[in-house]
Amino acid sequence: MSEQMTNIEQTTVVETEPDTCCEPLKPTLAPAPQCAKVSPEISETSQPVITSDKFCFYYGKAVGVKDISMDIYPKAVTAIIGPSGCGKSTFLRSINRMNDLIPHTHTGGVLAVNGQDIYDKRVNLVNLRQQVGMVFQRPNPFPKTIYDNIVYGPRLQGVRSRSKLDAIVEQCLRDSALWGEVKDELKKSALALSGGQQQRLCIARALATKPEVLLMDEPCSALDPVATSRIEELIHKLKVDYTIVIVTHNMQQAARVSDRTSFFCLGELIEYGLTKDVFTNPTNRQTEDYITGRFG
Amino acid sequence: MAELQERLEKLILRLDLMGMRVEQALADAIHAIKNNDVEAGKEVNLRDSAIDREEVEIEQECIRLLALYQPAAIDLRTICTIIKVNSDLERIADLAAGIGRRVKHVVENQVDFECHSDLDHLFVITTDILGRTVRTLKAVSASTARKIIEADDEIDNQYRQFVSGVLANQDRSAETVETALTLINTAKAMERIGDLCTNIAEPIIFLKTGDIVRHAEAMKDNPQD
Repeated sequence: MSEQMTNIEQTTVVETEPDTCCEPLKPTLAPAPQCAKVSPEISETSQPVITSDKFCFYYGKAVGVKDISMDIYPKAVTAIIGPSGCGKSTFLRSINRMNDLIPHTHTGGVLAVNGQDIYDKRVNLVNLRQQVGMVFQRPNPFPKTIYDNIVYGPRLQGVRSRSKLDAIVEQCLRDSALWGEVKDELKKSALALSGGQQQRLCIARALATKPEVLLMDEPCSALDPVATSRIEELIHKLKVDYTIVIVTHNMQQAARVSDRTSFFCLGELIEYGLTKDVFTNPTNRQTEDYITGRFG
Repeated sequence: MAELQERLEKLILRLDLMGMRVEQALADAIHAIKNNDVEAGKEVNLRDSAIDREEVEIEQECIRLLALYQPAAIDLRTICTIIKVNSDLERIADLAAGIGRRVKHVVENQVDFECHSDLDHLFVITTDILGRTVRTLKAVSASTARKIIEADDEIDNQYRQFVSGVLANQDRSAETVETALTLINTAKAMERIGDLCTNIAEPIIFLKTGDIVRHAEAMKDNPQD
């Protein structure tokens, strides 16, 4: 993936949620506990894909996230929930360094993908973003054809063979449950698709570079219930092959689609556990108050 | 979401009130059968339909809350508990109504309940456990709920002891068989009420702790995720 591709995606980040990135955090809630409650059941025998060890992210002097320690396991969906400004999107974007574009930011602790500290100076950002794909809140297809949207990444990676590109397009559209709807209209503008189709196209585009991890920042917030349901079904299918981290404000969506749920508040990880436990019997009072709508 | 909590609080109050009605129904049914008061027995039976209606309305409200709010955590556990407790309270009221209906038969067959002190003791301990169960609905105490589950053994033992005594003493004439059946069926209703109190206590523990204590041994052998 070239620098051009990286720039396009980075620009999109700034466009979609410019205010939450730079807004200072306001301590309007009760102070979070010193250490997050991490369920012992959450550990698996498999090695985590993403390891966060006391990871901190600062916007100048303002804390975005502080001392986040959690492991994200492969081929599963991990949801990040929490009130606005709690740092969930900051943490998500930190996983493929989407926050780098924001001036005066710095990090602390370690955030590693497959054991590699991604904030190490030697890390190749292009490779990182190939490895860790991202889907944004609002569908952001390029103003190109459906076909060209998907082959954009592979072409930048040097794939030139038409037959190979055709195969990638078909596979990615099948994986994103869009092939049946657009197979005869691949030369149609992506902007002519419905919102739900555009979002699935963006997922297909993210899959085209064969990432290992897929980050989803409120991927259904701009979609109607039917399109949301399609995306959720898609997430269920994708987790067989991909590690998915999803930020959502929709508690029911987090409960439906994820295997593990982490609750962030005021930039700190408050609780991290199996979703079935977090949504039926959370161990932390703040988590319970948030998911039952008592605050947030 | 404050509306959900308000509606849940109202539901808990309704369930508490229903529990008190059920407790009253059992006390009245026992009083009627011990005192050969046919009219009081009929009254218990008549009042049962009001409890039936309340049970349906509480369940409808629970279904509405589930559909409208998709509750989680403590709210979800509260609704699940209300659904289960509501159903069991209604079944206890049915058993009390059954005793109320039986009073007429007791009078016609001149069954004397006063001379059976074992049965009277069964009435006392069952009424006591039901009373404690109803109070636990409001207090939501897991430790009290556990004591209720333990206390059911006393009812079971007393029931078995009473049935053995009745069977040992009856002389197998048609009349005494009918009397024995009336006595045993009444005692059986007490034993069932004890079981239903246990059924109510179990979801109260779940509400408080999130643990399902029902069939703990079976779950140990074949744990479900």
